[in-house]
Amino acid sequence: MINIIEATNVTKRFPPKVTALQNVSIKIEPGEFIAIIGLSGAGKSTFLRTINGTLTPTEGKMRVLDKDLKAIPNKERIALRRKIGFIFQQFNLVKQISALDNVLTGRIGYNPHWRTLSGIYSQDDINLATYYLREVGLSDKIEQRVDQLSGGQQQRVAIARAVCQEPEILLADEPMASLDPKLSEIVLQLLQKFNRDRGITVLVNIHVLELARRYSRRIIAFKKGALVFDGPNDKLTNEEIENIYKIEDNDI
Amino acid sequence: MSTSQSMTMPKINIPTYKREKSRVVRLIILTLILAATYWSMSGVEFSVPNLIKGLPFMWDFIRRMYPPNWSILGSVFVQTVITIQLALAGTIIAAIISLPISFLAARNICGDGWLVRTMTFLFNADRSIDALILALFFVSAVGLGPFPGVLALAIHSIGMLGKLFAEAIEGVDKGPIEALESVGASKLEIIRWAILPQAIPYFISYTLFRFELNIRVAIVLGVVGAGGIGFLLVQYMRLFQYQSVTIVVGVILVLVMGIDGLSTRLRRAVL
Repeated sequence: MINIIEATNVTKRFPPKVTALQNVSIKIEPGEFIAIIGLSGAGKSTFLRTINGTLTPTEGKMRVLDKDLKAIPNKERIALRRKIGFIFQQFNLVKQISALDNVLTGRIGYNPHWRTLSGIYSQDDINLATYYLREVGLSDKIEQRVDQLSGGQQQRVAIARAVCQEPEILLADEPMASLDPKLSEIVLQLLQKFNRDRGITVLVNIHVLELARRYSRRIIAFKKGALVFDGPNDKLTNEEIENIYKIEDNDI
Repeated sequence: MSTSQSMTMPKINIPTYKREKSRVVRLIILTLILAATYWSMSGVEFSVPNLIKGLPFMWDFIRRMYPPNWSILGSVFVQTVITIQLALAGTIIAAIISLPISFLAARNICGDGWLVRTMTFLFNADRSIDALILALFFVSAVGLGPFPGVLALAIHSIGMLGKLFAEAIEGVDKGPIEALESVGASKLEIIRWAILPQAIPYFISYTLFRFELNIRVAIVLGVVGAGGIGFLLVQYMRLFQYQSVTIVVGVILVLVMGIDGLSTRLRRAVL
């Protein structure tokens, strides 16, 4: 496997009018850390969701982990998702249960139904989940209900859940957008750490350009659904940036 | 028009404003309400003179309720326990049955198709049949006593609980569902870990509320033969033992208010 993600002419339309992705082609190698920039509505979130198969491309081909997402049956697509962690802007945790229970849901794909439905996880899974909660710095919050945690702590629980899946790919959709600048750095540092230590391929949507430049070597940019930049950080010129973030009159 | 305006004020032309509801419309509405009141009251032979004529009998009734016959308190308690058991059993059976089938009536689980519409219709139909009517039906099936009462309570409660449970399921935050999908969870696992934790407090709250209502229904069911404190009330009335009736009515008041208070507190604690 040379490319862990390979999109060929991917187009995604939401009828009747919206074209969220337009003829996107890109190759991503295992272990890369990629920042995705662009205005909101440019197609960043849609791109991440076509990678984990929660959205299917209208046209084109999406190969992820050597599987053609369009060609495989639904059951296989669900099985593939355990290899792809997802971190959300709004955390998407189950607030009424504990941090540990939330992280353990990351192990669902590895367990038989009787374990996941009864909530009787193996000791190994419990050890793994608490290990990752400690890794994200929440060793004293393991049994706490998530709605008692702060926003920054909740996002770290969500990161622990995603890495507890032991994924090969980690997708993060604006994971810092609900957090203040300092917490944003912590989130990105954690993603960077898991990228370096475990070799997990990370794709992160960032709307703050400065953070994107600091944390990733490769940057890709979307504009109105099209891929308008793909290259190393230092090749991203001022003109390019201006073009990516330019708001045209008819957009307002 | 100009007569009312003083000399110092400049002359202004004030246009007439026509209200949306004219006086005629208001008059028609008022007439209709009065007509409906008269029509319904004449239908039920409502009569103020008769009411006044009846006042001495009411007073007599109240006078004979005093002093309360405290000696029956023990047997009243025994019957109160039966009423509570009746309400509790009916509520629990209804909750257990409603819980799984309410998922079939939730749009976010089963889509917007015929299944959801059929289930919603069944719940509504069930709710529209009063427990009293169901009780008469079950008495003819399984005989007199608390058992037909429990069946009636349970069946009648399913309609309301099923509908409320389905609404609770539809009201959950969608974020965790998407997160669980991304983890590679199946539909059952999504229900278990994303929907149930969010919906269970509402399930408990609605069940407690239904229990409050069922206590009242259970008392009335007792009147028609399901046993419990309601049955005791009719017995003493028929035997003209009004001093015992006082105790029964008092215990009913305390029971209903006590259960309401307790349930309200519990519901506040879970939500």
